[in-house]
Amino acid sequence: MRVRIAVRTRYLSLAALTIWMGGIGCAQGADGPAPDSSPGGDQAGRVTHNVPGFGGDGPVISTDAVPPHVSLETRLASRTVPLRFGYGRPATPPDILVWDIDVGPDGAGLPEGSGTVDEGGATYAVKCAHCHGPEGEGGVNDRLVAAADGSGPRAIGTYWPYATTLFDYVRRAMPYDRPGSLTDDEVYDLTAWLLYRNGLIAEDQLVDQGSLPGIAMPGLSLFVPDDREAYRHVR
Amino acid sequence: MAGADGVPIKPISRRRLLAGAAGATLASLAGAGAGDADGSDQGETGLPRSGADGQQTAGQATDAADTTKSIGRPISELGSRSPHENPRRVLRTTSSGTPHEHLHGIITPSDLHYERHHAGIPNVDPANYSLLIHGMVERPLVFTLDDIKRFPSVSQVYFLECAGNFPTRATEETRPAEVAPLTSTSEWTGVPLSVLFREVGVLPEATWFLAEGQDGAVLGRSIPVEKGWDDALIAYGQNGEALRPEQGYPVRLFNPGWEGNTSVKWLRRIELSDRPFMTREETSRYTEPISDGRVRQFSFVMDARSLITSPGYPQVVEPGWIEIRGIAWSGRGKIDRVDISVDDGRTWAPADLQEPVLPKAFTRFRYLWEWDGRETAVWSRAVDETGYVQPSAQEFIAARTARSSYHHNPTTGWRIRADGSVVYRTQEWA
Ligand code: HEC
Repeated sequence: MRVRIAVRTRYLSLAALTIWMGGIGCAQGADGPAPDSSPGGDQAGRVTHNVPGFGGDGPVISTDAVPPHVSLETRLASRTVPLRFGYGRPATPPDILVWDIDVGPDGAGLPEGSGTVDEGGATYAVKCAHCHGPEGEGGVNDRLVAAADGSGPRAIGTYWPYATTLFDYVRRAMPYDRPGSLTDDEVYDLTAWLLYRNGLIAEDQLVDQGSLPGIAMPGLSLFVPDDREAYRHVR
Repeated sequence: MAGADGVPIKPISRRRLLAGAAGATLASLAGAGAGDADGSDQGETGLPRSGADGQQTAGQATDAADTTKSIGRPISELGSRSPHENPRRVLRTTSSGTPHEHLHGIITPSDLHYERHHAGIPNVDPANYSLLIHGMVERPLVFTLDDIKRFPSVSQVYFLECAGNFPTRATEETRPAEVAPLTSTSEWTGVPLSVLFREVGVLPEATWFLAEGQDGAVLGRSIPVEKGWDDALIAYGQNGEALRPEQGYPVRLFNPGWEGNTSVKWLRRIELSDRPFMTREETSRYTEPISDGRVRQFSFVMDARSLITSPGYPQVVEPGWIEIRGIAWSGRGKIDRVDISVDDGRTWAPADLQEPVLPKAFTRFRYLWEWDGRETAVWSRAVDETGYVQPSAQEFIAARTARSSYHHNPTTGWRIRADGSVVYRTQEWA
């Protein structure tokens, strides 16, 4: 059996050595060879080395014509990791289509379809109200409708920076007990109802691919990027 | 009743036994755990009992208790803890936390690693697992678990910490585990994300990527591409074995030093893009009001923090030598120093740090202290290799006038009363 292993001892700093080994067994019994970590060697650079735990006369480790091993760390640092290992298979369009569910702040990824406040209210009462309260607040779970005067805990109307996130989140994660069960139209309806209840759209506004990204969200102006790393004290 | 030396022996009280056997610090650690909320009651601390009346004498161990008189338990396929050890995670509604006061060293046993999920723990079949990488890449690819494991691998010790990991309303009856439950350290094994980035050929215009899980929340976070080129891992190993389901089995993203939520578990998809995706977990959540009505977003790095794990509530200590023990960590790199105060914050002196001190991992600190029996409070304060100093609560509150629950890292301490009882040193949170 020809096995390449990386060996590093006090004496051998050449990392990758080719080892020819006779029967490798777990020589933990009394009949195993005495461990000997001091290698012998000759001028030609060949080294015989009794590796503890390997049976037989000890493997002959040859450093002849073996390119030095380059560690992954070094390769990563010097960007000499093989560009391609060739593992994995090409992703087909269907592979991507079934999982690519994200909706960006620019509306990229929004599906066909549309929603209305009316329809949304009806769906909400059936599928959401028992956790989030009949009017989007006062339920056992997150408050979905911000107080009209902006007081109280943050919610969609006072805090969320993008209306598209609402569609994205409800579609991927709600209803909590049956995630992924809503049709795209239902998600549009619920998005419309939640935006309306938060005072962000008129009751008769249709919500779809075209209108959703353009809905102004008061939360957007609040957000600033993280600036802590430039400082050595709390920010 | 007489002992081996003929001296009459009274039944040894639990308190005396402990004090004698283990010294002040350990005694109270084990003893005070009785009736503890985490179920870690270890009864009579595992020391042998004897007699129907529960009495025990030093020279009179029963045959059953004398382990030298019988053959022990045979070998087994799967090891287990001593029946006398029963550490438990601290349960909360949506999370469970690491019981720091029961642990030594820096590695958190995998079954005690904290957990926080947004839609429970999915049961992922590794045979059906695949990871899709697409978007702004030359070659969108799908990897099976075997594919991922074939790539060159690395193993690194890193802490993980949830962004919300500080009890602002803590009472005196708060245990070390409850002060910082949602942080743990493991050795993580996986393929550097940069290797996969090269494999798919990430385009130069890609600046962010979406990492998405296959849990019920299909949880997604946007991560700057630089983190992938830097030190992010696609991890499948934890402390020498496969990831625990709670930690994302079979594959998770791991962003060293960053808030836990970004290290997306049960990872199924990575999409490269030239802008962040603005998911709910980086807008509505995991963003924090700081001051002047501003809300900080993409606050990834976890600031330096430390925790004294002993002494702590509900221990009872005795005057004399006490080894103050704890852990410190920083998302920016290595811990440089941990200062200890034994006079309630007036003066500070550096603790010993256990080598090796690893970047973005727990560092164990120790400080040997002779307590004179007078009421005081002990504190710890971490300083990391960038020079960042862990703030006091007052400094923290002054810097962030708005209240939120994320990225709190102020110093904490333990009050030691004259009777030896240890309680959490409560602080004002305006
Ligand atoms: C079984 C209870 C339950 C039901 C039913 C439910 N939700 Fe939720 N909802 C939750 C929980 C729990 C969360 C918080 C999840 C988390 O933080 O990970 C949540 C969060 C949300 C949020 C995010 C709130 C925020 O401010 O971040 C929105 C929006 C939402 N739900 C909408 C809906 C809609 C729309 C429906 C109906 C289709 C629905 N939910 C049904 C339990 C429920």
